[in-house]
Amino acid sequence: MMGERITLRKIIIAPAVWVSFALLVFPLALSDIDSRLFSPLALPGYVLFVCMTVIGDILPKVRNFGFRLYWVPFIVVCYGVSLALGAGYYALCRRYTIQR
Amino acid sequence: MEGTNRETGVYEVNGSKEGPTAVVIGGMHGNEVNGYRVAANATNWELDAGRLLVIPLANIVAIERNSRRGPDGDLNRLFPSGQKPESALARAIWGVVKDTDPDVVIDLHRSRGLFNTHRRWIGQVLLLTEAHGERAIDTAEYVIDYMNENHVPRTMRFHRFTMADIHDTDRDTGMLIQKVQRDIGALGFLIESTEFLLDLETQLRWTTTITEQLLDQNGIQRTA
Ligand SMILES: [Zn+2]
Repeated sequence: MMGERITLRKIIIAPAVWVSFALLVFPLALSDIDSRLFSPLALPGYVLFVCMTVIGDILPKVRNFGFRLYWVPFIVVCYGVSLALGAGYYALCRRYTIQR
Repeated sequence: MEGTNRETGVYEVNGSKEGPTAVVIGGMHGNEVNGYRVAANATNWELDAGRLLVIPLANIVAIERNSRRGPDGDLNRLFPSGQKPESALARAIWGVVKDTDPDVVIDLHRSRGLFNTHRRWIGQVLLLTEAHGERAIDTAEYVIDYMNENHVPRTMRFHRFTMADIHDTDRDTGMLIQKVQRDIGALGFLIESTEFLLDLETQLRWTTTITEQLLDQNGIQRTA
């Protein structure tokens, strides 16, 4: 395994990416359907969603969009964040393997 | 209601015992569904004491159009203190409120955003007028704590209810709760519940509970 390259393709299909994506999106989506289902698991997605709307709310053109529309960019951003997390995770694993 | 073309109904619910009088108003803004649905439900409530007057669909034309404003603009800006309300509908509503001689008036609304988070939206707020006494503040604090403890999930930090008052003493907002306080000395509360990341059922549940709690704190308990 030593020296194996992390390719973009590997990261895109990597389980760590999809797991973090699912954790960001699904608990919040569930709570959006019925807020009684809001759990602490939804917190990361919740904070990210709120942050995106806070920024959008002060941008001249974006501010006219209803907050419901933020689900689309939210999902895109979640995927981006998951890619970064996934890449970080595999880079750490690789380093750990090499050091061993 | 007299003086209006469209029927804006007024309903009365009487408790089994004597007690204070309250007015609950929904649909002041026609696109705030939680407000008029909760007020409509309140016409069927049963009370242990007191009297509840409900105007569930205050701005029926705006409700039918699903728009905030009615034919005369924003209805909740047409109630200047010490003067005649500025439209036929506003005058009719004010007539009912005044004749009822209420101890407390509760106006139900919906916000789109979160308090102190989204610049353009007021968020989940219990609004008081500047003339509130200590009792009104105590009541509001109790109800807000109750909501945050029992209904808003602990980790939903930005959704916590807050109290706010219409600051400037001199400024006349034209809001009904301010006129109520200034002209007839009744307590006026405006409930803003948000739709942000909340399903309609939750909005209805929270608006209902906060209304019940406010009435309860003012001596009118819902029994069914
Ligand atoms: Zn409103």
